[in-house]
Amino acid sequence: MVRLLLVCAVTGALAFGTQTQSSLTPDQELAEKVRDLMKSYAKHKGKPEADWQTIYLNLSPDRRAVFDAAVRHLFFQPVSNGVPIGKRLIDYVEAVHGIWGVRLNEGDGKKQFRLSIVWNPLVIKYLQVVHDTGGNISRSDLGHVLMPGADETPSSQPVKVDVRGPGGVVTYRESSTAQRLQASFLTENPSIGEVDVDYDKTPCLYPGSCHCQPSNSDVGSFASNNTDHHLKLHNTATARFSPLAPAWSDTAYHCKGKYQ
Amino acid sequence: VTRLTLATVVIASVGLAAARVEPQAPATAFQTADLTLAEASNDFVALWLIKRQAAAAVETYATSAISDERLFPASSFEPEAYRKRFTDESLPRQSTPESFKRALVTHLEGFYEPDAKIPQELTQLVAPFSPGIARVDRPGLWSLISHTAPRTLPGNLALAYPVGQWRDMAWTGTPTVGFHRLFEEMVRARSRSGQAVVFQARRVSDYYPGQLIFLLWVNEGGSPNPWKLWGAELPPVS
Repeated sequence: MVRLLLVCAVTGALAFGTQTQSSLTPDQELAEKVRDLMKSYAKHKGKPEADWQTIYLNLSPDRRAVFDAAVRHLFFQPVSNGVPIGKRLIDYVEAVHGIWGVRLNEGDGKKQFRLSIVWNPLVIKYLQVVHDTGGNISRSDLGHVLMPGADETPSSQPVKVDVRGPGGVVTYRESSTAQRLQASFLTENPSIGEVDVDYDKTPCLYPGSCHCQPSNSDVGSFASNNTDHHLKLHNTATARFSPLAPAWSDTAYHCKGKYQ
Repeated sequence: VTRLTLATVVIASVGLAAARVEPQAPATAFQTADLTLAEASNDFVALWLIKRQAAAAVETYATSAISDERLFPASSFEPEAYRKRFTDESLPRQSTPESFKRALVTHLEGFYEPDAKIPQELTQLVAPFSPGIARVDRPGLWSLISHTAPRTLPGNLALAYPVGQWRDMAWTGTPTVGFHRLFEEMVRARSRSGQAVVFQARRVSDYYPGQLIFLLWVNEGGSPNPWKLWGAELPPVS
């Protein structure tokens, strides 16, 4: 039933493909972006673009959650000199080449909840303008780019990941206390990059710090006492869209050692 | 009992000595200012993150010059409501210094974790930090602050650098809109100088580097401590 509904939604999005952006509802525009980016993902994986719906529906619940949450958040509105800029970050995403969302004791990939992105290289100039004008995105450090690769590896198998570190990465962070988007690029090739969404603000100060875990980027994670509920944060921050419903079947408490 | 008490005093003194800032003689006015800045910063972090007395830290060190809500910590507002402050100039902004201090306490207490294992000494929480260490261990950070000519504060626990504009502290990712839009104008209008003090906490995770601790001080004059705290952030590490 869920799959049927998703297919209907996706098919419905196709029907709106000929409309202009301004005439679309937020959900319709979102559905278009999901379609276009899943097509780009299919192409990158050497599969027919026409199969994008099947590929999307066959993503594991965890990977689909990461994809959905990141794409929805990329619609947020950057501001320059107190005025919203016409374009949004989503307008600079040309393709998705990696969807990393493996959870809970599932090999090396459990550490990753991100999208490997192909950016329009103009995104750097765009973000720098927001930064320079005191906007709601700023240049930061500790950037990372998770290179496209073995994101499709079954969760039972170890995953070799290629993360490029801060030395060769430029990164920008959204100025927000909760649900903070991070956009990163390789210095040597700004079109190659990553999108990461962090949910917790609690830092890595003390040994055993509860939130100092990869779960910080997992939209499905929450504390065992039902606080720090990432999905609630996400749906509040992206309220212009219909709420994202959990597709995953297991819970993913942080602070319980599952991400150690 | 006397021996025990003496031993306790000795142990406590040894612990404090590690974090104490010893003056170098003869001291210039600049060195004296840095010494005071280091002492204030060390004490503030110890009160905030070790003794968990955020209210006392704020009462002792926070400025009384801020009443504009745009300079209140963003975390004292609902995140979604706060996003509007980047675009909506009509939102109410005038408040009181007392409200600012309450908001700052709430902000600082928001970083506490109930079950965390808290170090007993400042030197157990933070590692020595300096421009040389930042250049090697935190090249990303260094590339963003090197234009300010950072220096090591007395005591070698933190680096410091002048802050005159948003660009100088943007790396912290602070969402407080007043730092983005107002800070430069305010310090210039008052002929004040801002100083950033940055500590690096000891690494506690396999995944992430040591947490940085950012304090923003402004020299407001007065004696014995002219430095007043305008902001404190724990920048993202992931």
